[in-house]
Amino acid sequence: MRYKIPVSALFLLLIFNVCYARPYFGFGVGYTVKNIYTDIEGFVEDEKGVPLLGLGLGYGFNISIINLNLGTNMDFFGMDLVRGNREITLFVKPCVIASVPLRLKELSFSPLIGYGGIYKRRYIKESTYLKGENRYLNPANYEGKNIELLFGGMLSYSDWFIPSFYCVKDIVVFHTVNLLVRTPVGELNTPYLNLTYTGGEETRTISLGLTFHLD
Amino acid sequence: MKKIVMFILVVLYLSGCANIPKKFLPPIYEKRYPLIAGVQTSKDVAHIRIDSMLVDIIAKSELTSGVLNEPFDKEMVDIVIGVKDFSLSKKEGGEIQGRLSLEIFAPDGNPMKTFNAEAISKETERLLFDLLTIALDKMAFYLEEVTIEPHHKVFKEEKMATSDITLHYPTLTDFRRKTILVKTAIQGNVPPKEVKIVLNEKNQVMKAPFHSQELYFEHLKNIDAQKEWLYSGNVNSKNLPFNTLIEYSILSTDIMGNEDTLKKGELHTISKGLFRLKQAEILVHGTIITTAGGLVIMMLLYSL
Repeated sequence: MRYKIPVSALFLLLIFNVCYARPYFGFGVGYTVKNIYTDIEGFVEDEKGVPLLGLGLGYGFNISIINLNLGTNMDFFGMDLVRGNREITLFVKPCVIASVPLRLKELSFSPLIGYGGIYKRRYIKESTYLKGENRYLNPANYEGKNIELLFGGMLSYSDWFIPSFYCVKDIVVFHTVNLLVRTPVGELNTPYLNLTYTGGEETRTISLGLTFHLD
Repeated sequence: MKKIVMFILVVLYLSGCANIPKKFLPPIYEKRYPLIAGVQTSKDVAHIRIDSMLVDIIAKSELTSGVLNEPFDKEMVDIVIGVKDFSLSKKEGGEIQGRLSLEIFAPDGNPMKTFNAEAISKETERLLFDLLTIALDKMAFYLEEVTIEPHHKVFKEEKMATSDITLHYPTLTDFRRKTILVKTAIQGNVPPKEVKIVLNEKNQVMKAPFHSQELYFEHLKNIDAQKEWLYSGNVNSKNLPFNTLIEYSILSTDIMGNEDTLKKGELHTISKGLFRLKQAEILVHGTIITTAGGLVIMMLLYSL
């Protein structure tokens, strides 16, 4: 119940601002360096060394001097693609971030504050996994989340070099470093190269992708 | 297994950077007449498509030196062209047969001559184009035989124009692209005969232009009581130098030889190093796209 009012307020705000919104969309490929989860029997597993496919969606708009940015980044793990199992792990990283840019000539710096984090879901096709001699085992699905207040900062040099960073209160638990880069003197709607590093106690992924900002 | 994957990715990546050539409409009609034609709007609503196609084809051809659509002042034109009759009928075998009849009038309304055309085609668009081409061919032949004195109102007019110039860099479909895209919208009463862009290197001792290119007609619009012509072109000179300040001017000439400078400005081309960097950038884009695509395909294959 206590979420209904802020969510509806945000929804109304979105409707009024959608005409001036700057949507963005991105996709990329990456690699999982660390992915620790606890399975249903209490064993701690680390599924690492797997390629991942990233997708990002979101949009930003202005309310007077504040830039509000809503987005979700999803990492899909084609787990064990080469080895033949059928399972998928999904990291969803939603965030709502507000920032106030401070400009000095070509350089712009803004501290970020927001709400979001990481939500992990691991799904394995039971009919494949739990068959034959494995049919008495417990299912290996897993869900975990870490969604809190976010803090960070963003730097922007002209429009072609934009590093940014945000983390939860305890930086060790979850943090993300992101770099958007493209060649200077670009045409309108040229995509950015998007290098992302997500780290934390239980996860570590890196990815390289393309992000299209439409505005 | 890994070798096959690498091979597929390399093939996808190489084909992603291919150069796709552009197609151009061949010019029709060699002779240019100092006449200005007006195209009547057909009374039959079903013929409006033909009217706009007619304006388009005449403007892109050398049949007249300018074309106006309705509404136009009778004093501004020498001949008026109208669609007299048009019909389509379906034949067996999925083919459509079309009949078109164009008529020329003198500006005071007296009919001068009628030109008929007949054609058969499978597609309507192609059929309309063929019919108009046949009829206009006959018209061109007639106008060559009969000399019509131009008596359209002759006056010099200051044109109003808005122009847009964009520098274009390499992309995935054209790896070596280095062009300037020019778009000009000209508002006025007198159709322009020629619109061109002239490029000069700034700070050159000699004022000779290093490049001059004609822009092509796109379409014609009515704005209040005047017309607006949209011209565009892609300046694709091999001599377009790197890292140079270039002065450009967009000029328009009308049938009387009056020249108007529509826009003057400067642009700075990028350096060779930045050009190579842009090419490297799109190679990276191509690699990411093909790798992501390959990964998606493999995920699908393995989930079936």
